[in-house]
Formats: sequence, C-alpha cells, structure tokens
Amino acid sequence: MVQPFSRHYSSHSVLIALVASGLCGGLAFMLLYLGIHPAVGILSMASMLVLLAFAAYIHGRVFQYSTYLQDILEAAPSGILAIDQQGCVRFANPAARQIFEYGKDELVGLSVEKLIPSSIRDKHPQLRSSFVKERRSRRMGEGRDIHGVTRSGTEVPLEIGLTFLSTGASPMIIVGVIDIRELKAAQTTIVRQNMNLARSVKELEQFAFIASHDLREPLRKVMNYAEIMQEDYGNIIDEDGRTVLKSMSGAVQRMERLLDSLLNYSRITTRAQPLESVSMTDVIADVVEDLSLSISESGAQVICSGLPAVMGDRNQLHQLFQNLISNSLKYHRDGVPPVIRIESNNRPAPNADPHYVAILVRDNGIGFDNQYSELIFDVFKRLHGRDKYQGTGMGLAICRKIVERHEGFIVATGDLNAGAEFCIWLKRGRVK
Amino acid sequence: MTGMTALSEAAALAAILIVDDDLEDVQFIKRAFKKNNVSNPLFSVFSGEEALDFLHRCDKGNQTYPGLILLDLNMPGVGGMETLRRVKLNERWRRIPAVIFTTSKAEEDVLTSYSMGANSFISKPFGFDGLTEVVAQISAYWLGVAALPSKSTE
Repeated sequence: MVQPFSRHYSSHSVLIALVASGLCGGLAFMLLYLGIHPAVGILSMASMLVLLAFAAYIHGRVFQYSTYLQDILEAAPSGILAIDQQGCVRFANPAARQIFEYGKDELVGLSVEKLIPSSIRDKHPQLRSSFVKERRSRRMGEGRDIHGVTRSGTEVPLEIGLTFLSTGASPMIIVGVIDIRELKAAQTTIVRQNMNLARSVKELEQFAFIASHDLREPLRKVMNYAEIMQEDYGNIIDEDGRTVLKSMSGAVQRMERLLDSLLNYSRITTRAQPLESVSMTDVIADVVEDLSLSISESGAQVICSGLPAVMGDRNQLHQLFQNLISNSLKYHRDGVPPVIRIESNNRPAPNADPHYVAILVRDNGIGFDNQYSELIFDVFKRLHGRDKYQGTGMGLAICRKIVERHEGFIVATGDLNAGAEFCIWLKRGRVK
Repeated sequence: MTGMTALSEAAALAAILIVDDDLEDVQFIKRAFKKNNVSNPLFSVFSGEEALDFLHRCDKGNQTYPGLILLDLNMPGVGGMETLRRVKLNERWRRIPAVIFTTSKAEEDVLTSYSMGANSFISKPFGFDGLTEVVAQISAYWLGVAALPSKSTE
C-alpha cells in the first residue's frame, strides 16, 4: 500500500532519536539491573530522557514543517502530481484531483496512463521511461498541445510541466498541471472574432465599391434625362424651369463626384500594389509637374528638400501628396501666394519605431482650428461651405486610408489663418 | 421599328448593331445617333447570345451584315468580352468593326478588349451631351473614314 508522502519523510529523524533514546534507556536499565554504580544508571536514564525530549522536539518540528509543505501543496492553484517510475500516481493535490474530476485519495494508486488520451496511451509508458532515463525537465508551454482525460472520459486541454525528483528512496516525476480550457476557448473566440472582423472590413470595402459602382448607373441615366430635357424641351419650359433643370444637373454631377471619390477610396485596398522602395523626391517632382498649372496660376512656391526613400505604393503615394499639395493650393489666404514646404525630419513616430521617417507638408494658408485635426480625416467631412471651396470632402479621408494601408501615421496640425501642417510617417525605404 | 423596315428604308447604308442589356441605354444611344442625323439602320439586341444569333442570320442571308457593332461589356449570360472573342475568331464576322461601349473604365477591361481584337474602346460618358458627342465621333470615324479591308482585298 502506498504511504502518504509527508509522513514518509518526517519519520526519519524522529526514528533516529527514538532508537538512540531506546538504546540509552536499555543501557540504563541494564546498568541498574547489574548493580553497577547507581549514578551511572541514573546518568543513562537522564540521557534517555533528554534524547526522548529531543526526539519529541524534532518530531514536532518536522511534523510542523511537513504539515506546512503539505498545506502549500494542497493550496497550490495548479495541479501537482507525483508519479513513480512504474507510472503509478503517488500524490495528487486537490487542484489536480479537480482537473481530472477525482475524489480524495481516488487518484493515488492509479496508473498515470488512465489520465492520458487513448490516442497516445499505448506509447506513453515508453515516453515515460525515456524521460526517466534522460532526466530532462519539460517546461510549461514547451512542445505541442497536450490533453488529459478526466474520470468521465472528457479530453481536456492541459499545460504540463515535468521535473525529475531524485531525492528520497524512489525517484519521482513531478507533474505540474494547468487546465487551459478557458484559455483555449478564449483563443478560439479571438481567432473567430478576428476572422469576422477581417470579413466585415472586406465586406465594407466591397460594399463601398459596389455601392459607388452600381449607384453610378441610375445616376448617369438621370443625368442623361436631365440633359435631354434641357436640350430638346428647353424651349417649351420657361426660364424658371430651365434653372431648376440646371440645378438638378449640378446636383447629379456633384453626386457623381462623390461616388467617384468613394470608388477611389475603396480602391485603395482593392487595387493595392505591393510596397517597394520609392524615392519621395521623385514622387513630389511628379506631383508638382501634374499640378504645375494650378501652381503657376496661384503663384505658389513649392519648396522641397532632403526627402528620403520610403516603402510605398508609388501610385498611392502620388495620390497622397497630390491631395495634400492640392489642399495647400486650394486653402490659401486671400492675397497671400501659397508657400508649401515639403521636408523630412527625425520627429519620432507615434509608435516610437525608429524604422519610420517623418515627411512634413506645411503651408501658409488659412489653416484650421486645431480642434478639428482628427475630424478632417473623416469620410465626406468638410469644414467649409461648398460655395467657398469646392470638393467632395474625401481628399484627406483618402490620404489617411493610403497612410493606414502603408502602416504609417498621419497627423494634422492647424493654425487658424496662419497655415496647416501634415506630418506623415512612413517606413524608411532601402537606400539605392 | 422592325429590322426589316429599317433595312428597306436605308438599304444603302451599313447597319449599326447595338448590343446592350440596358434598354434605357439603348434608347439613349439611338437618340444620340438621331441627334447626329445618322440615318443608318439601328438594330439593338440585349445579350451576347442575341448578337451572335443576329450574325448567324446574316450568314444565312436573312439579314445584312452590320457595318458596326457597339458592344457593351457587362451583360448576363454570354458577356461582351466573350461575344467579342467569338466575333473576332469568326472568318465571316471579324472584319466588322467592333467598338466596346461600356461604363467600365478599368484598365484591365481596356487591355483585354484590345487583345481580343476590339477596334475601339469607349467609356459611356456621364450625361447626354457627352453621349451625343461620342456618338458623333464614332459614326464619323467608323461609318465614314475607316472601313476594314473587305475579304476580297486580303
């Protein structure tokens, strides 16, 4: 029959003291019986008493200590098992019993193979003996997923740690067991939620694409009818009617531009090209050339210097900086020719990653109240009336989407009636 | 207007075959031709299958071959691209100018169309004024200036 662990150990030192005091007692009795000087007998008797007291003391201390250890094992929040070399469970704490659904003293004496799933039960004794031979510990979280079998036959995901205990008469394998059912369930939930999230993002993109694509069709027809009306029936309708028709065409055209920009917005992800090292100097040169007419018309100055190479989709970077520079041209102060500075510096990225480089676009235009510095990036968001500044309100939304697609950052800072600054962080490109 | 009456009224002029599943678009296109005083007979079919049937009828002599095909891309069933491919692979049909006339502006559609043998790719303009102008250009070029080489001259 298997001995409970603690008593097995605490008895050692007490035993020695008891044997010694017994010997002393026996010696004293023998000396007294043989009639040798009674003082010697009394001395032996006294030694016996002292040794007995010592034994009692030691026993008390050892018992106290072993109870303490036992309490720790009992209270441990994770399961602890001790397995002997034959694969027999010699100790199981309550946490271990709870994991495997066994009652008190029901686990002790069982073969550990009873707790192993049937799929690997047959080869487990071999694994066990090679573990004993190598005496190498197995850390928690090391190796593949492990399952245990409960009394009711349910397979439970477990985290297992193994150490080899060679003190004492028979070496033991100490097993730490943690029930990771909840962890696994949480993991599954996270994976599922991530998949759902990815799917809804994709659906949303498809929705934007389909909506803007398919909504264009009926709109094109409304436009056709309105123009046919104006052209073929314009002489039948009076002046007021013609104005109404003209306004209708205007509204339709505006809606077409909105749909167009929505389509462009959705294409940032659907028509994305792989990122490569792109020279920002080249990108800005191209943009400036594309905008040369409006730059010369507004008398603007575009100053750019020391631009780095970044990892990017060249077409999208072109669109990003075209939108920003166009904004600077558009939102200039009356009578103040726009001065647009594009430069790079070492301003740390919001994520403090040194692989990012900052590119700044600054102007001396009308700026904006800094409380809107986040809002201006929203889809269809406009800070001004359409009568003063044209546009769909998609320019900066497209900018932000492009930057996000590049895993970068964009931050706007406005100074009302003094200028605006856009800081873009992108991953540094390779130096050619 | 039935095909036969149109044919008899303007027998000398090459017919134009409009292939588009959108009835309203067909009407806009016909209107735009009329606006440009193009008196060539206009036929319209609503699918790729019908377009191919039309051309098969021409083979049998029940119909005169059209002088121009205006082909929409996005149609259910045999789509515009497949129709184009079959037209351009057919010995008797390939010389008929095929102009892709679609709402698509996608580069891949443009490239595929030309690689399939399209003679022109035109995006449907937004608004009737634009449509009228485009139709004017199409008829001026494909019914006037250009003529694909006939079988005998090849």
